[in-house]
Amino acid sequence: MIREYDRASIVKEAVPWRRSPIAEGGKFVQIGLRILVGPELFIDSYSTRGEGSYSPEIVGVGHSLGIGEEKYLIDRLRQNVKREIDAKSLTVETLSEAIATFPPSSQVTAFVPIDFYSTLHLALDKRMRIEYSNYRPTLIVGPRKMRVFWSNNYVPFKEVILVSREFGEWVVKPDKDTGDLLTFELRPVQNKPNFTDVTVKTIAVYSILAQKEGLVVRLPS
Amino acid sequence: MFVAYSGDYGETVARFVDECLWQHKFRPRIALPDTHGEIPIDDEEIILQEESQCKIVLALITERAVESPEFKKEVRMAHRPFRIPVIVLRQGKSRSMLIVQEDPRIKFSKGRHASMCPEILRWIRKILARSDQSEAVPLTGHLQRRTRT
Repeated sequence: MIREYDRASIVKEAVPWRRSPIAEGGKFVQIGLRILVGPELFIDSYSTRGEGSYSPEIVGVGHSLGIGEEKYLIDRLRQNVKREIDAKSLTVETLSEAIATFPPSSQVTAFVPIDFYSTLHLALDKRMRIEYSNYRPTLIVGPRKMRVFWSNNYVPFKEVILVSREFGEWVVKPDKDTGDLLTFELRPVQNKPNFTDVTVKTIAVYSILAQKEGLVVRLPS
Repeated sequence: MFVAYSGDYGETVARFVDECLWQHKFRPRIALPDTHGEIPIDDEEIILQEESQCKIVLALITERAVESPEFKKEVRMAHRPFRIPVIVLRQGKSRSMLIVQEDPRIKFSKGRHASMCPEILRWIRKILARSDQSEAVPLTGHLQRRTRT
C-alpha cells in the first residue's frame, strides 16, 4: 500500500511541503479510505508464494489515496486562484502572457488538462515545447520553464492553472505513533471475528500563503 | 483501456485482449490494425495522447516486448506523467525492468493466453471500483467504510 501510494502521489512533487508539528492547528482534512479485509492480509504464509501473492483487497488503495490527494489539491487551487485570463487557444502568446505575470525568478508549476497533450507536443512553434527528464515533463515557453502535471481521467479539470512555489504549501500531520506520512488504523469488526476494519489515510492541508502567486488560464473546451 | 504490446506474439495476445475487452463492453485502444480499438494514426504522440485518456493500461510483457522503445515509453508514461494504473500480463518468466512490484500481474504461458479474460476483467473492475473511493473529509468527520469489491 505504501509503495503504491508513494508512486501514485504527486502533491509533494508538485508543491512545497513539510511535516506539521503535532500541535499545529489549521483546516486539516483526512484523505483516505476505509476497507474491510480478511485474515489473509495478516498471515505471513499467504505471502510466501512469490511476487504475485499479495492480497487483492489492497490493490489500488495507494493509487486511490494519490487520486484523493490530487482531487483535494486541484479543488483548493480552483477555489483560491483568483487571477484569471481568458484565451481562445493555448498558444505561445497565451502562455507567454500568463507566465509574464510572475516574477522572472519564480519557479512556476503548471497543471494542464490532458486534452492539450497533442497541442503542446506537436506545436510547430519552436518557442514552445515539452521536454521530459526521467518521464517528468517540463513546458518551455521562450526563456521560461514550468514543471507540468497533466490532468487525467481520475482527476479531470479544464483550465490551465499556474502557481509559483510561494502560492501555498502542503502540510502533512504524520502518524503520532510511527511518524509515517500515512496513518493506519485497525479495528475489530463486530459479528465478523475474522475481518478487520482498516483505515488508511493522510492528514493534510494545502495552506494558501500568497494568493497573487497563482493564475488560471480559461480556455474553450 | 489502453493495450501496450510489442513483438509478434505480443500482437497475437493483444488481439485477444482487444476482443476480451470489447466483448465485455469495455472500450479498448490499441495501436494495431483491424482491432476493435484500433488507433488509426501511426504517430507516437497521437498514440500517447490516446493512452493518456484511458483509465487503465494493460502491459503485455512477452518475450520480445521489452526490446521495443515504443512499448517501454507507453508503460513508463502510464506510470509517471499520466498516473494510470497498469495491469501486467506476463508471459512465463519474461523479465522486464518495466515491472513495478505493486502492479497486479497475470501470468500466462505461450499459447495459453486464451484463459486470461476473466482474470483481466476481475482486476479491471477491482481497480476501477477502488479508484474513486478515497475522499477528503474534515478531521471531525468519518471516512465511510467501503464494501469489499
